[in-house]
Amino acid sequence: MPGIVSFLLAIISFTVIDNVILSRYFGICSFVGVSNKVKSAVGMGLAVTFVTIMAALVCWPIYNFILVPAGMQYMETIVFILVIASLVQMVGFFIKKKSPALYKSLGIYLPLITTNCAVLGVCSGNVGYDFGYAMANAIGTSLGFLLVIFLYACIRVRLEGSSVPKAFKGVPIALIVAGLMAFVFASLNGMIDLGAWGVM
Amino acid sequence: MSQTGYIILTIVLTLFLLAVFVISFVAYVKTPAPKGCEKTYGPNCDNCDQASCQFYHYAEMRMQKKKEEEEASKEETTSERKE
Amino acid sequence: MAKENQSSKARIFLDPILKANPLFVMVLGTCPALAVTSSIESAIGMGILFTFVLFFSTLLVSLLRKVIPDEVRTPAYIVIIATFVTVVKILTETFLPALYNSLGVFISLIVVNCIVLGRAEAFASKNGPVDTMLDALGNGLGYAWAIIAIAIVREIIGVGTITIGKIFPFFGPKPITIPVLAGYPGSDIAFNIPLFAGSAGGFLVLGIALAIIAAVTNHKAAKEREKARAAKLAAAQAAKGGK
Repeated sequence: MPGIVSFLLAIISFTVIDNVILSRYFGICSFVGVSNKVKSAVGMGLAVTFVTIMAALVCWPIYNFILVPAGMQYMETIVFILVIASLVQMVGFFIKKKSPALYKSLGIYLPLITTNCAVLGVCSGNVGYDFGYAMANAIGTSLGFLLVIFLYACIRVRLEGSSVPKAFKGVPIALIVAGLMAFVFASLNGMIDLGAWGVM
Repeated sequence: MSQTGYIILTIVLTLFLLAVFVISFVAYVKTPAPKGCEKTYGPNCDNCDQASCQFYHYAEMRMQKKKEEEEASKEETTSERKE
Repeated sequence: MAKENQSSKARIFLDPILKANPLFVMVLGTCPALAVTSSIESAIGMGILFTFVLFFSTLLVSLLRKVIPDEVRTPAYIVIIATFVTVVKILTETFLPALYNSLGVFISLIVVNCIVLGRAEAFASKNGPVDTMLDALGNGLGYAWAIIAIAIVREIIGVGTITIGKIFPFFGPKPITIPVLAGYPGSDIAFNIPLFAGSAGGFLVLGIALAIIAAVTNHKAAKEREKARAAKLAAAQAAKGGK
């Protein structure tokens, strides 16, 4: 079972240690923008999770089985952004048409995901990985996004009632809180040695 | 398959993805929003104040509208005060 | 009339550099602003590449603004921006491989940078090519100086030295290291705080920068309000005196 163990370890490593927002700096726009309420933060996190995993599932085979044999690796950016954008629009269209409840909780965040760096960042970062590791990256990254945006929204809800210096109100104090969270998450560095498990 | 074949495949794939994107984008925009969330797209969206939304121009329009309203309300209060 | 026209052109260019700075005032494009600012040189490189992409893609959008149908605006813009990003990526990989390696995936991520799509949607789709060029240059330079400023703070406080020549080999083959808070030859004095070079430092520096800007804006607004109130009082008193 070393395969499954190392897969799970890679997921944990991507979720908490190499966290998407706090250490890789992907998707900070939506992280700061949609974390005013816990409910919308969770909605955004779930939508990002879904789209990231789907996009990674589509992009990896396209890159490795079509772009690499064609020798056109530089087309990566255009193809990936088209895959992500059409995926987002298609999913949005179906949800809008079929399921109003799901649309209300998740669908409204879909237009924001095309321009979320996390999705394209994962797809572009997966370029050199094998399939298992790429999937671990996608799953771990999106779970990390969900976890951190949820925690962050919980903190921000409490921030609203507290007395913050006037100049720090709004985005500045939110960024400082994110910095402190990044500090905490950075202390987990080195918890899992992926090399020892033969993953990297 | 030869490399040329793969290059043609890449071009076809890119065009196909573009077509899918355009069609689904138009379909998405044209579909009316379900009941209860009409205010989640377009100039009346009050979902979030995120400028990174791909419908950013609507966000800008909204900000302008808000500003104008604020100015109008300011003028009202000042005129009231004068009275 | 000509003078007015000139001043409006100057405002299109100057406003995004200071008054409506995309990073410090609008808080857009934060991801690369935090990710590439641990060294000054990669921030300079990012600024140049970003300005390049913004300039050419908004120019093309502005030239094509009457051709592209309104319904497919966003898809068309995304494709245009992605094309220019690909061009930039190939050029960087060929001519500046050190910059390509240090920026990594963040060159691709210019595609999803909110500023590029935002300027294309909000400005270039409605204005002529000359205004668009000025707007793009203003926004590009505004963003570039903002990320370079953050990078200077982070590198000086975090590493303690300023290193030039690693990515842009303009001053000879060897990188030059200037000691500021640490790294003086022959002494082990070091006042640098490594936290600021790490992942938490980016958030802290940007947060403090935004707070300083908010403080300055608040101060200015308060002053103006005071002025307006004083003027009103004076006017009221004059009216009373007139009676």
